[in-house]
Amino acid sequence: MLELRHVTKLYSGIPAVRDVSFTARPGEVTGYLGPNGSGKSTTLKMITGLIEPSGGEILFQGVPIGRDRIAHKQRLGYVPEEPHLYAHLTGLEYLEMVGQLRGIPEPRLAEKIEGFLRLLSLYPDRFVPISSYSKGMRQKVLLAAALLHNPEIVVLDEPFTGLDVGSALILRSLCQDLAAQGKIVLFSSHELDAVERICSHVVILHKGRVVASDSIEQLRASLELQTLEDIFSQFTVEQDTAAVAQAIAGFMRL
Amino acid sequence: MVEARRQFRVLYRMFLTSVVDLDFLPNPGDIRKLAIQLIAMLSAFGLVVTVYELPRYSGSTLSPQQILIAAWGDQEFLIATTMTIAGLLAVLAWNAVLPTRQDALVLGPLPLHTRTVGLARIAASASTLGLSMAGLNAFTEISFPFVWIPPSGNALRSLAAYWLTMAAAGIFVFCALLAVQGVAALILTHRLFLRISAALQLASFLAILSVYFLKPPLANPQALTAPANQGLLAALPSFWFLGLFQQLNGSTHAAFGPLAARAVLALCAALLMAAATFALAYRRSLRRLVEEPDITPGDRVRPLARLTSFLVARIVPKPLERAILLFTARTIARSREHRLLLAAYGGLGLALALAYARGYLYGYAGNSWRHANVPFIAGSVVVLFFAVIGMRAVFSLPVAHASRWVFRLTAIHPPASYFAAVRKSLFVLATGPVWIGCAVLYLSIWPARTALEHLALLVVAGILLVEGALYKFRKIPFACSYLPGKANLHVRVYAFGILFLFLADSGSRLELWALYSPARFLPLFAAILAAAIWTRRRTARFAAAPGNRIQFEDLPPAEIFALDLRPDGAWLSDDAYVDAIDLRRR
Repeated sequence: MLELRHVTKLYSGIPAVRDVSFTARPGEVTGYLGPNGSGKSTTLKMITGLIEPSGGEILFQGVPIGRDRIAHKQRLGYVPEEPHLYAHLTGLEYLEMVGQLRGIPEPRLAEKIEGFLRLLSLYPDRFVPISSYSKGMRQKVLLAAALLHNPEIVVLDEPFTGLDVGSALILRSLCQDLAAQGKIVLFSSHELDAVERICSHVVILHKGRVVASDSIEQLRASLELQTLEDIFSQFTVEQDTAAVAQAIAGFMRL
Repeated sequence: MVEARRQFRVLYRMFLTSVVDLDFLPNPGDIRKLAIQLIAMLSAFGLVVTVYELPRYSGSTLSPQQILIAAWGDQEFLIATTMTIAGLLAVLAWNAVLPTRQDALVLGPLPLHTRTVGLARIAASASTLGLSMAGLNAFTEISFPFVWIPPSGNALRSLAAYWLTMAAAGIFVFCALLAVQGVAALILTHRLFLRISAALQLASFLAILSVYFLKPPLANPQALTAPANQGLLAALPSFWFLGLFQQLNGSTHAAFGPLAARAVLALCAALLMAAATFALAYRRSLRRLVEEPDITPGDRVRPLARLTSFLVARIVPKPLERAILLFTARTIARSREHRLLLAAYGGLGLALALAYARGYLYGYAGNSWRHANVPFIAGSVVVLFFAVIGMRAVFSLPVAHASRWVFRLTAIHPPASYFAAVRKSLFVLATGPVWIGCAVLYLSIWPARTALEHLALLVVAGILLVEGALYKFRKIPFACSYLPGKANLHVRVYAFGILFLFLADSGSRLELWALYSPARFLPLFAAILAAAIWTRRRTARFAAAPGNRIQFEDLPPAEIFALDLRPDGAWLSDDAYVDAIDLRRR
């Protein structure tokens, strides 16, 4: 079980995340939602250990993750929001490097990489540098690198970015399969339709604070709203979207 | 028309900051600083030459005619230096001449004429070349032309001859290298060009330095007219432009006519070739850049690639060490900034080694080079030294800084394992090739025993250098941020440079003295070995210190950091500056 207790993150005194608490359980897919700049990626980076909270605690099985960072890194797979990869390496070289850094034995690593590359349709481009990959291909490399070591916790930050329809459908099923294997799957996305289909539990963040945390059914019932989009809008959308669109069109004519 | 001019000005300013291909400069302000430093350095060189050489003319007891002949050597030296600086600048600006992929994607959709973009690029390169030439000759041009006036000439003509010659020599080299690049871009496929271009750039760099340091002293009447030297003179451009200067200055010596004609012909050919190939290659590159990748994909199916993988797996069996080694090697092979910086260090080392060996090449250095000698010993030490410090400097420069998160997330081994992997990478990539090269050279030219003794010392010296270079180095190569300007580089470079050259020279004399006597060699070897073992232990002790961490952030100087004005905990505990580790307290 992954638990966040009153987690806060300040950047030069300005809060990016404030008093965030929620629990992600094994066997569940937890959706982490929020508008741009709400603190989703910051929270996920704190969970991975890439940045440290200014306050609060992040616990795995009741133990703070900072107590043994190495063990935490070993059980974690992470797909970041931006596809930052060493673009001068080929897809194959990148995955080999990650596998070697993670200490995966060589014959098994080669077999795994080949499998991932074939399943993600990257095999024909395995010798091509990542700089030439499309956004979706880069996302697939990140996904393969995150799953290579069979992690217990899978953190996906907007994983559908750039993926084609087929790959996105595979990823949806994969999230559910990983949860079925007893893994903790936590992912943030703006694809509310996908979240609605695969998440058993959602956490909605707005201006750095958790404004809702429950199962989708429970939220629907309590708020008497039909869709996750309606629920999300209720909590986070403060503007008259149609009026803003009209204003933009007006500025174009200036 | 007005719009095109405005576009040209904007592009010119933009390209000016990227003529010298140093992506690791933190902001455009540093480009100005770098430009000022470069000009100041070149001017300082000119000033030193003027202060050192000029009194020799005024205090000379030679007749005016004899002085003019004696000046040929200085004239050729100044021309060759100008050509070398222009050549090195062309090598540095190599990737800034033809359009980049970024240019194609960013400027492509904008309403710009290809001609405007190309002209702005050329203008930026030409400005940099002109500025460097002016800086280099700032002091020499207001002094030497006035003492090199022939009886039939005058000061104004001498001054004009000097400037025209220097400008022509600089433009010739710059255009010649531009033409080489243009021809390669035209005749090769885009992928092959990308692969060959880096090799051409490196080869040009080494060729320029080699010619400068190895060219024979032919600037005297006997050597210039000797039939045996005519082939050599026809191949050495600095002598062509010496001929041009003499002709423009009013000299009537018979040797200079053909050389001057060759200079004019070569200049015209270089200009025409550069203009034609650049124009054609520019358009061709722009089109292909959008369609094809920047980096050529490797083909692991090839036997050579398979052999490399097999050898790497045998030499570095641990997966972590292999990951670091391969990442390091691939980054150096594919990142032009890193490659260029390494080439600069390597080139400097090679230049010094060639300068040492020059005496043997022209037979005026005494003993035969087939026996152990100070220049050859010192040359190998110099090359080894520059290979190690060059590689170590390159390791500190980040590549794709935002991508290093992968190293942080996979840092699951003790830090000492990473430091060991970095050390092995330095041995394999820096000292290994130098050791192998020296073994081949010395075993083929020296008696076996002497060569083996020297190689044994070189191996121990390499270990000493690597361990010394990596002491307190806690980074994975290319994965730590970089704050330029922390070290007072200018002072340190000059101070350590002088100290190193002194040590290399006196150390080589000591080694030569010891090589022919086991009673002398063994204590010397034992002393260097003991120093290497001590350095190794010191580095290992530091790497295994309990509080040690891999460093992913380059940090400001300690006196600023000590204020700790970041209550938000923006730094991870992993990133804390671990210079605070005091081994004496552990």
